Amino acid sequence: MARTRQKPHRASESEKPATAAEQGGKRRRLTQAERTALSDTRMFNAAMMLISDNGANRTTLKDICEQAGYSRGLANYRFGSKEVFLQELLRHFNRAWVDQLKAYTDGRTGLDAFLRAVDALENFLTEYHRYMRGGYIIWYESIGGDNEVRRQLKRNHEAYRRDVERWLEQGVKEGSVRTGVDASNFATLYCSFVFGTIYQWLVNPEAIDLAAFFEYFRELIRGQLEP
Amino acid sequence: MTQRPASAGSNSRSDERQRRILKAFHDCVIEQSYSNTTLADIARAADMAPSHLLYYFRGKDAILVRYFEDVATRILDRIAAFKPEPPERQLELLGELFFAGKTVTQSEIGLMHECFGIAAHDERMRRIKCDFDAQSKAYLSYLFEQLPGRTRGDTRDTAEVAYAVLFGLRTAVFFDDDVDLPRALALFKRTMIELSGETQGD
Repeated sequence: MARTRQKPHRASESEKPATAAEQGGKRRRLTQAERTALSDTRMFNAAMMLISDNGANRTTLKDICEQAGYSRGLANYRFGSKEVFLQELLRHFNRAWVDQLKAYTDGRTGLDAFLRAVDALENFLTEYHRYMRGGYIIWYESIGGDNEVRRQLKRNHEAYRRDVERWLEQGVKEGSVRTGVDASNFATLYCSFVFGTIYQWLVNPEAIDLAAFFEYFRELIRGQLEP
Repeated sequence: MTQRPASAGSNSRSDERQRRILKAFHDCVIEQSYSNTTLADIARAADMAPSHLLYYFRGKDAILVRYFEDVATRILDRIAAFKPEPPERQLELLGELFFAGKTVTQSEIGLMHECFGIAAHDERMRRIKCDFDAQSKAYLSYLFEQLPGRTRGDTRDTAEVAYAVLFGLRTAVFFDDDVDLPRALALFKRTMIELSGETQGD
């Protein structure tokens, strides 16, 4: 039987991921720090749209600034180079994902938390697919070399794996996950599955019915993990 | 599709030059990445003038498309050759192809990942990748029908999951030191067996 899944919040893609300065909405003069955060967010949003359409290699800082409505030199002035800008863009992307994950999993443990994390992923893919496209394009175009983007991807994946391992270990203790499950192997497989699925979907969204696919996957997880 | 000279089909000299260009492209990109490689670099490595190279390919992107197409075709040909084997042996061969590390180097895998990144936004590359994915999944679906045990649900759904795991594990090996080839191979084989419905102990 399918569980009822609740979405903590919905937002249009143009609104996401918003900074505190954007979310304030009050008619007061922004501080310098808020204006900087706002312009960074607008440049990040513009960058993800452009990279999603044209790739990271073919997108310039000048294109990004113009798309965001700023002078063409702003990104270079603030970040110094495209490489540093892309690193910060990926951190911004990861923060947005972590916020989403927390909104779904806070206060939950074990198998419940893990299944909610799967819901969070499905929602993130559906609601913010241009961000996902942009992020994954940057990763794939960068991991061929030894660079900071690749190292950042490794760190992110280690964190994702640790989350899954923690939920499974909690689940075994509280009885929601059967004993004997190898948390480390399962976490590696799950993260690989997620990476592989997202890429397939980004390249050919028509080939995958995302809702049906995730439902099937949730059933598989329950079959593998429930006592 | 990739530009090819009209005479290329029957002209062995033309074929040889295209192979030379593709080899030069491969070597340059492995050495300095795709984005840092120029057409002049490729021409120099192929020992020909850039204008001569442009007779065979419209530019760097066209060479990349042809390269990607050739690699995808080679992999699919190898997979197709597994079919006469017993299903358990096919599973072994599939694992060896992607995880044994004998057929391709890390640098070549890196280049393929760069191709995958470009395929997400370049229509020509995307078509090649979609065709490759569709044929790979069709093969996995066929394999699940052959493997002993009861496959849960539709074999096409199972093939989707298996392909995502295969693709994700192969990528993880490339950037994550905690996932080496032997571990990825063991996890892949175990996943395939579990997906096919056979009971495996922990």
